[in-house]
Amino acid sequence: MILPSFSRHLSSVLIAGLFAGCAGEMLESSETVSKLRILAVRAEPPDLAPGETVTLDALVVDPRHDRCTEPVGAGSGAPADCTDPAVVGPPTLYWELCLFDEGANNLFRCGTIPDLPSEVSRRDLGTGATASIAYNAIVPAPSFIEQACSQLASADLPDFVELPSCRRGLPVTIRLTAIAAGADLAGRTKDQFCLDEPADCEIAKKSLTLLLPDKVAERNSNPRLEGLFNGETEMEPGVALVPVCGDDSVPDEEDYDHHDPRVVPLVAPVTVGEGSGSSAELFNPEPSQVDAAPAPKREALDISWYSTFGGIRGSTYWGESVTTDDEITLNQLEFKQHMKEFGLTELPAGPVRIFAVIRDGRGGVDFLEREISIPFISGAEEAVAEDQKCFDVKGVAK
Amino acid sequence: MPLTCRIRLTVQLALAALAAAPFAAPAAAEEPAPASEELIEPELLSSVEAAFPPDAFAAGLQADVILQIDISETGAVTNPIPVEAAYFGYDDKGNLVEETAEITADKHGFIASALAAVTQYKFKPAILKDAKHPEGVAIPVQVTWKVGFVISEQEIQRQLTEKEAQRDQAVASDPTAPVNFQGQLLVRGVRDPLFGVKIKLRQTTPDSGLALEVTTDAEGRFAVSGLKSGTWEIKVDEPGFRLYTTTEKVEAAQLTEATLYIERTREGLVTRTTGEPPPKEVTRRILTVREIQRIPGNNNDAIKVVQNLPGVARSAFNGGQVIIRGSAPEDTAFFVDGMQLLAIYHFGGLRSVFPSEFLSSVNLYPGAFSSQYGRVTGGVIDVRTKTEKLDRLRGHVDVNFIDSSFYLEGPIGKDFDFQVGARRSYIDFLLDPLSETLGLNFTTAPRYYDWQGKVRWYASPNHTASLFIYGSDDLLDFVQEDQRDIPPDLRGGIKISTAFQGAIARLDSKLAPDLTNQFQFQYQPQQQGFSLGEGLYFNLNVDFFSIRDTVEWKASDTLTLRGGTDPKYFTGDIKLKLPRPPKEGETPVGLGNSEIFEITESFDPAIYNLYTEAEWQPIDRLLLIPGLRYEYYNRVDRGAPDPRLAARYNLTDELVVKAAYGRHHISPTPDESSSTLGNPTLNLEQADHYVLGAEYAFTPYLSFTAEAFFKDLDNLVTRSNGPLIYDNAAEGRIYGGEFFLRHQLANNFFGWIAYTISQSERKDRPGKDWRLFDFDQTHILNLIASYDLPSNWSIGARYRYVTGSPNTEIIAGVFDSDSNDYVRVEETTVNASRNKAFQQLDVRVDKKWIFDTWTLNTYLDLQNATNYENEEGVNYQYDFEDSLPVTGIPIFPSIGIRGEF
Repeated sequence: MILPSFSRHLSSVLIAGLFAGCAGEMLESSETVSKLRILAVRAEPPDLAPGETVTLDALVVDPRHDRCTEPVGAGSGAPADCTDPAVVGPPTLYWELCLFDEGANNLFRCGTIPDLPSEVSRRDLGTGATASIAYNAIVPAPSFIEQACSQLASADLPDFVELPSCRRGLPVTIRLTAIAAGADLAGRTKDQFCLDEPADCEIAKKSLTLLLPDKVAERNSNPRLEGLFNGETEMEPGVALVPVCGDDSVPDEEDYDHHDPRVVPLVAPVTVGEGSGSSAELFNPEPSQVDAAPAPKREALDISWYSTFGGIRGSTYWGESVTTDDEITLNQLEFKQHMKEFGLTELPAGPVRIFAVIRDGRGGVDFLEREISIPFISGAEEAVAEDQKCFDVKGVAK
Repeated sequence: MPLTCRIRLTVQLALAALAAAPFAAPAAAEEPAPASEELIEPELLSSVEAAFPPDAFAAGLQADVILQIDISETGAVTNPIPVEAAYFGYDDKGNLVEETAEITADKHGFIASALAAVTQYKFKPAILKDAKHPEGVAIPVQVTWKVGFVISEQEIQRQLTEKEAQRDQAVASDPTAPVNFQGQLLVRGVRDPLFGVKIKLRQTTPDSGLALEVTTDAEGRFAVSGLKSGTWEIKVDEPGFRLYTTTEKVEAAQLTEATLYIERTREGLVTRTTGEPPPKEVTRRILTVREIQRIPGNNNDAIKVVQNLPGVARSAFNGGQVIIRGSAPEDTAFFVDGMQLLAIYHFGGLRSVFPSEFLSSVNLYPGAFSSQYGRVTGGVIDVRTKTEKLDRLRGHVDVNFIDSSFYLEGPIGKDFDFQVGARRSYIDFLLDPLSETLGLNFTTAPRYYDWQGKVRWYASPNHTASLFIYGSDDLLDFVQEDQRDIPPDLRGGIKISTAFQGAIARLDSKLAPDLTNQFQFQYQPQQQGFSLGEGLYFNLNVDFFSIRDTVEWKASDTLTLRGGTDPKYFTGDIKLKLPRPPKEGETPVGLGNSEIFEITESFDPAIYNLYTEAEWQPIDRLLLIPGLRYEYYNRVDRGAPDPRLAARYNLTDELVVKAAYGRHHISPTPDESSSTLGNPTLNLEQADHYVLGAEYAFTPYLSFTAEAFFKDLDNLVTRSNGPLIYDNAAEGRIYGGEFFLRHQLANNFFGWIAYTISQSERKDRPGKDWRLFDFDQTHILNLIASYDLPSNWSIGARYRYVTGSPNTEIIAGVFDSDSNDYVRVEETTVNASRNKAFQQLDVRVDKKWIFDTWTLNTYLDLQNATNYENEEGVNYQYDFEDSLPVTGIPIFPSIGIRGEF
């Protein structure tokens, strides 16, 4: 039938997706960082006004590098081969700016079109831990944006180019390639190396909007994660938190995992301060066919948690529809050292790096990382540790 | 007439068969030709069988009729004259009685029959060779010809036995007395009346030796007048049934009644047609309900069995998508009695929406189908409901692991009958309590129900009216218990619902002896919904109004004309907030990387059409079915003519060759032609179907069909780079062959081997390479067998082998920091890889207990008996660097119990 085919197709795709979801429990979780990863790319400011310069940095993690710079312990899983040049140093970052990109299937490479000089299409921003570029270095003048947008709308574009929304300005692409230290490209391009050696390479993109002068008032700002607290004590960057026994974190009887004596829960609630620039902002959504002038909307903030070892759970969102204190306190992370899951008979001691990334859904990003030091636990001691609730950590971020 | 010579031949004719089968055997020339001349006698080339006069046959009378016939120089028979007739038969004691009658009085009709037959004989003319004609010349001759009417020995013996029985019967009963013994003969368990069955009665007390025989009428009833008092043994010995004996005590002056139930021992060949004949096609697969209810893996569901026929591909997870000869699922339509349905299966393909008992047949038209079907470029599934008058109350209750159902049918007075049925699944009831124990992360599982009701009114011999109401409701509701990881907008789980309700009013009229009209009106509200939390949703509410009117005129014995229309009008609204759905050949992307559309639209499109069709037999063995359909879609303001032509030629009684061509159009889907989501100026998609095949019947129940097919697809909607989102730049081609060896239900066995080999390809834009279609499956093999064992056990098995579905390999993932999502990097060629081949063995065992008025059937249906891990898809790690196959349904037993009366 003509009309229902759309939803029939959709239903079948979704049903298949549900089944697929059921079968995927053996695959590694995205929250566990076990290889070179780019967890976030940040632009400060996230929208660039005429005359401004943007500074770019990224949360890039290679846990193998940790194993050579920290004592071998819980965070390692297995001793690293520290004679391997690929793990002895931090990864190298390659920054590029593309006027538009060729899409995921072409690894977000900078696109070119015949009438556009290649130096306009792509800019090399260096290989430092951070990069920066000025508005005027990207486009000669704001008027160029309107001209480019109108040309794009009427141009016969290549397959890979998606027509950008130019309501606030011109969205350009920041492309970041991270390659593990000491990697041997052996005559290959970076892109080819990434396809051949995915454990030693990661490619990421981020959009950056070059604002039109009259839209500067609608600019976004990055949210701010102000810190992770253990109780009233802030967890300091570079200082590992050693969990201590607590009384008020009784395991939830309803929680299935807590019946498994090999699970060691660590709970660290985090909040983001309300008000000011660090909370969810009001913004003007893009007009749609249904609503040409939509009412201002509050951002939906999203925190993602990562750790270099163990299991982790606890990303939380809140925005306009979730403003109650109860919902905000849901923003907590539950860190688990699940020995059975990893086939371990004892829990090795050592550092575990924990990362939190917050996104506002409009390009605004912030991130932080802290460290927890796990004491040695043998299989026989787990039950004791569970009974004494020694591994409950409480924290508050402000 | 210048005759050079007249020759009379005396022909001895013997008939071994029941009736006359004359042949030429010239014996002697009465007037020999001069020695210098040579005469070559005429030779019989073809003859027709003389009809045995029925009254004479019934009386056991035989005859020889001697004729004098002229055979012309062209070999034609002219001027036959009866010369002599001799009759003979046997008296009651078996003695031969002969009689020679005057030829002027055709006492029993033998002479007229003989004359009628010989005038149709064809001879090779007599040839005279003489000095003047050394090479020979054809000449007219006159011969004597005998036509014999002979009854076989077996038939004579049968008639004598019958006469003897009649003598006994006359003694045992008195036809002039009132009826004092009567009853009805029914099939045990199902109470079907048995027509024309002989019931033997023998008096045992007193042991008089008296015996008689009665024959049942159309309702299975029998009656004996003036049966002598005493105890009578009643015996029914009918082929295909268990021997039945019982005794009844009869009083001469008192009426004795008996209902006899005899038990079927084996299924005979299914020949009874219980529904109206569907349109004639070159390729039509008809399934009779009795056969398919026992096919393993289908849970008694007649409509599900379609998925095991040639040309039908397998959908992932045994889902409800029907993929016919490489066409997209949305290009196939479902009909009930020619009226379109929203869906034929409950989602997941677990069940069809109609119980099998409601139906007389399930018809699959895989290509080049009748002009009565439009708006379809793939295939058609048309289920036909029963149309024969229901003569008694029947029903069933079925309880199994998945659902429970009931069905009831029967007459209401003399002029009405009815059918009702309903079904409800209870997977949700069973899984809800188990979900916590099993650690499943949802609170509500799928559920479905359906219901049907039909009332027919036989208003007059020429008019029948009916009202058919039906409904179906599906709900799949997954609520994740732990919602902490889910964005607030998406909390609330996944909910998919599909529901429709319908009513079809129908009037069948015989307007004249050769003119009929069928009118149907359908009203069908339907609702479809999908939601992912509160953030993404799709709600569609539509009210469909359809009419179908078909006039059929049987212009002559060789020509039938048909014409009609089935316009549709629908009105509704759609509200959605979703990403644009992926097109065929595209892989879905994560929500974080998709543009979300929010749309509220109302619509009221209409479709107008006319169709005409002829069934013409220009010569005896050839059937031509030309047809034409024109369809106009006002939503896209497009129309197109669809010519169709089908031909069948019976080379022999067993071998048929066939060919067909059909052009078919379908409008773009609503999202494609939407002014907000797509391109409202899209054209209609077009498909040209070509079919060439042959059928061979080895026996009445064993047949083989082979067909080659080609589909040429044009104007397919595809993604464009421009602002219009879609255009009609894609094309497709599908080609293959189907082979179907089928043993219908006979000799306790039925089964089939269905094999399809095909390739379905698409070219997304001009200049691009051909690629495999998403649902392309090179080899599809279905083996099905079911056998009735003694003691009402039966066992069946189904084995399937299907080439794995194509997929596009993902070679890497790249990270989109804005959406916090990895985006797949795909191989350049779409659908260049395949899943592993699918194979599955299903087994079914049935045991039936037959009681007089009802039967109890239990069954074990074991799906995937070998627990083979079939790869239905691939589940990728978050960054696409690793993957695991998603396997299909493991071994799955289903036990059911079913009571029928």
